[in-house]
Amino acid sequence: MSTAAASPARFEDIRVGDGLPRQTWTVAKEDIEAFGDFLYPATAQNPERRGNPHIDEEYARQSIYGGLFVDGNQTVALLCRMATDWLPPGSLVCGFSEVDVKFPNPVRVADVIAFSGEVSAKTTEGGRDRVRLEVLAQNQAGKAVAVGAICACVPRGGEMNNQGA
Amino acid sequence: MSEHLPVYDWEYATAGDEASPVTVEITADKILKYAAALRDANPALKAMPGRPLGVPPIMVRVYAPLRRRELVAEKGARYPDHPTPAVHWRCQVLDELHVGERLTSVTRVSDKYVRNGRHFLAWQVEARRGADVVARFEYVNLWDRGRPEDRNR
Repeated sequence: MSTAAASPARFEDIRVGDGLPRQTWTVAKEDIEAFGDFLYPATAQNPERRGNPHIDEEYARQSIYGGLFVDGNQTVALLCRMATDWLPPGSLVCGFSEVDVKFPNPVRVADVIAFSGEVSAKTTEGGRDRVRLEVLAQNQAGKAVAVGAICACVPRGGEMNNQGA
Repeated sequence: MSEHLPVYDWEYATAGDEASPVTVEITADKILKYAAALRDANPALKAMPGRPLGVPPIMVRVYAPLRRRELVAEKGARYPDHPTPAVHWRCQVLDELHVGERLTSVTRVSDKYVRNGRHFLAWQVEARRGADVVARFEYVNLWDRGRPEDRNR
């Protein structure tokens, strides 16, 4: 991955080969719980909490995996956060976007995850500007835990919801 | 009693199995909770007068819920009693999405396959606005119990 480029204000400022500033995450149980509370709210009727290896600690401990592991949704969310921290305002959350990520290895509590990304393409089609980022998350042993691409629509003029025409 | 039901294991699962549709509203509250849980400082995810909130890709899991357990129950089976780790996550958002709109989605088993001796199930959820598909979510899980060496991966 290349060196981090300054955050672009507009689509025109983005260059293929630009590197995103790296981010790191030391996985804390509290972070997993916070995300679990968002995605699997603790309501009496929610069937997604009991037996969930991301938040049900006893269940996870007794499984073949031996303990909690991070929900892939959370890893994807953090890759998206890295992207939107760098991209022009409103990018990726304005629709017409795509995220495609594989998880070759699990993420566990106390792992230190490094997130990185690089611009691999820019396209303008149908009046929409899109940027493709190759993204990667690796653990402290250098093993890939998430690898894939984010294709983000970048709103024109820094405004949201002006891409639909 | 659910313990007498067959387990929805890889053999039992059939590509094309489908859950009944569900309709979910995209709410500002849920987007704000997402930003808080992730400590995401993206201004597009902060409530500001006169400016619509953005809808992050992960929100597909909320407005187009995966509902695997519901599908399994509708197929007369019970959910496996072991973790089913995700190996692939894909989402396409095909339109602008807006807070306050209600989308109807259907979950289906889109594929089942074996790779390197392991068994996988692929799920797909399509979210529609009326007749139009506005988002598509695909998720692949390892459906086996896992192997001893997985403890150290």
